[in-house]
Amino acid sequence: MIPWFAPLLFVFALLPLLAAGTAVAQEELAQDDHTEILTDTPAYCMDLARLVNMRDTRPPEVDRLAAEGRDMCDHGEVRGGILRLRRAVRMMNIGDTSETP
Amino acid sequence: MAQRGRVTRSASFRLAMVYVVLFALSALALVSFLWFATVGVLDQQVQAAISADAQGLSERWEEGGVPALVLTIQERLAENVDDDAIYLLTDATQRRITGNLALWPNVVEAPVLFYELRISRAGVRSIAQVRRFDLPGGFRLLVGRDVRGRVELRRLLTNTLLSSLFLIAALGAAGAYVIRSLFRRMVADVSATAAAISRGDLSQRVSTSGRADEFDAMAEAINNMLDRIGKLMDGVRQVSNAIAHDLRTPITRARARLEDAARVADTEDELRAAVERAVDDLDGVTAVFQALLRIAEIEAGARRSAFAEVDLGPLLADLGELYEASAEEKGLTLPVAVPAHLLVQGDFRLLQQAVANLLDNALKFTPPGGAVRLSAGADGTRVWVSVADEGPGIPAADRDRATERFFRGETARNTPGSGLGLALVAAVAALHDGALTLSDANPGLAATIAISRGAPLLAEKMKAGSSAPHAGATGDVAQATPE
Repeated sequence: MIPWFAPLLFVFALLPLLAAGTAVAQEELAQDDHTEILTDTPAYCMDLARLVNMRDTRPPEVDRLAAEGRDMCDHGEVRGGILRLRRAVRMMNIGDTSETP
Repeated sequence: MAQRGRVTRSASFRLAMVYVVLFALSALALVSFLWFATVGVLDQQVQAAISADAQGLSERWEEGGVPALVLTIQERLAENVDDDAIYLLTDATQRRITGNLALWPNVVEAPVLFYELRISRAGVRSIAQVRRFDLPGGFRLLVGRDVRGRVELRRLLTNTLLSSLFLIAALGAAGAYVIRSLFRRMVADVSATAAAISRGDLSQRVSTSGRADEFDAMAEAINNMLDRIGKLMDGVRQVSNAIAHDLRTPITRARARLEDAARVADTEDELRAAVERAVDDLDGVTAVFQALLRIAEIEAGARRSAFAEVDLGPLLADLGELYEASAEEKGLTLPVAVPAHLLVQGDFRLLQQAVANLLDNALKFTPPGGAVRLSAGADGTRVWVSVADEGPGIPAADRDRATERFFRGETARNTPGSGLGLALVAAVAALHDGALTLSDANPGLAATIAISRGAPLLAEKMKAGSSAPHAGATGDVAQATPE
């Protein structure tokens, strides 16, 4: 009789190969020497807000997004706030481009 | 230990293991393909985006120098809705001018190459793919993309892979069990049949599933082989019985004559006459054995090595002429219609003896005033020779058995013969890749030998020969097999 677990033994013998690949990826993330990204900070959030405010005429949607972004940054949701402010900047710049003759 | 050894030596175990290994390797190959088709494509897309981005920045550098490049980088960061762009511009002293990296990473040393960079985004660790571009004046530009999406995908795929391994193992085990069961069942059936036959039960056959698959084909091949062996065994048994039965009579008769002569013969002449009659009886027995040996020799195919080009035209004409005298003695006619030349590849003596046997039979069974017709011809790649008589013929039910050794039909019971003549003719026809066919001549029997012409070159020679009927020529004729 073939032991019922014989096929399982063979397939599980392959597990270390895959586990090794996964371990490498996990190890990379676990190391300490990570370079800090500066555009995920409250300071950059304020920079973007100032960039929007520097424009005299703004579409209402830009104002709404910028206000939401500032509000989120003020409440600690920095990356979400920055995302809305970036949308506002892009919308503003697209408007500028479309108005250019 | 002995039990384990038996298991690993078992063919079903090896077959199941081969199945599991192939199944696992196939599944791994498929998953690996999916892995590289997704993660690999994402890598290529990221690298293409970095190169295109750098190309745009390079153009801005050429247009407006450092100020234009700084402005463009800041604009791109401000509009980076995908939140994945990474830039860093440094001067000749490695001082940061602009960008969203705090300092130049040490791992990024050479231009052209793409590097994987570990980054931290608001405390969340991730991986970025970056490339260095050198600008005039010692300025250096780093452009990259956050590839945390790819990392997430890789983690997802890895988890899926690990989970699927359990499924692969379960399916592999189930498949191996099914394969092993099928194999063992099939082998067990064949083995049981072989065992039964070795015990003497020739009626056992391998069972078929009716699905007409490979196993059924093999079972049918084995069963056909067993059928053939059974028929051969029956044939051997029948011939043995026939020999014992048919030879007992002449031997007993010879013994009785000798015994009678010893007891009652008064003179030397009477004794000599009795001995001569006994010798005649025993000659008949010897002739039967010679005929049997000859048939066996022909069926073994040993005579095929002596094949040569034979022209049946003169051979048949000579036979017709030889038997014409016998026919006239019995008040019969023997019309002969054969081509002047009819080339085949074969054994001259055997072909002559086969036709002589057919003529002997025909003359023996045709009543006075009747006719025996000898004819021949060619039909494509076959050559045929026919002898038709006007005798009682052979009932259709007996014709298939008429070529068996010692077979004697009801109509031949009262005619001298041993029942070996048609068996020899059939053996000669088979030796020449042909067959003997018996049919109704209305009235009488038509016996036709159809054989292969043999080598293709004979067909070419046939064209040169005449096809006019031939009658004449003389030659040796082999003695006919006793009937």
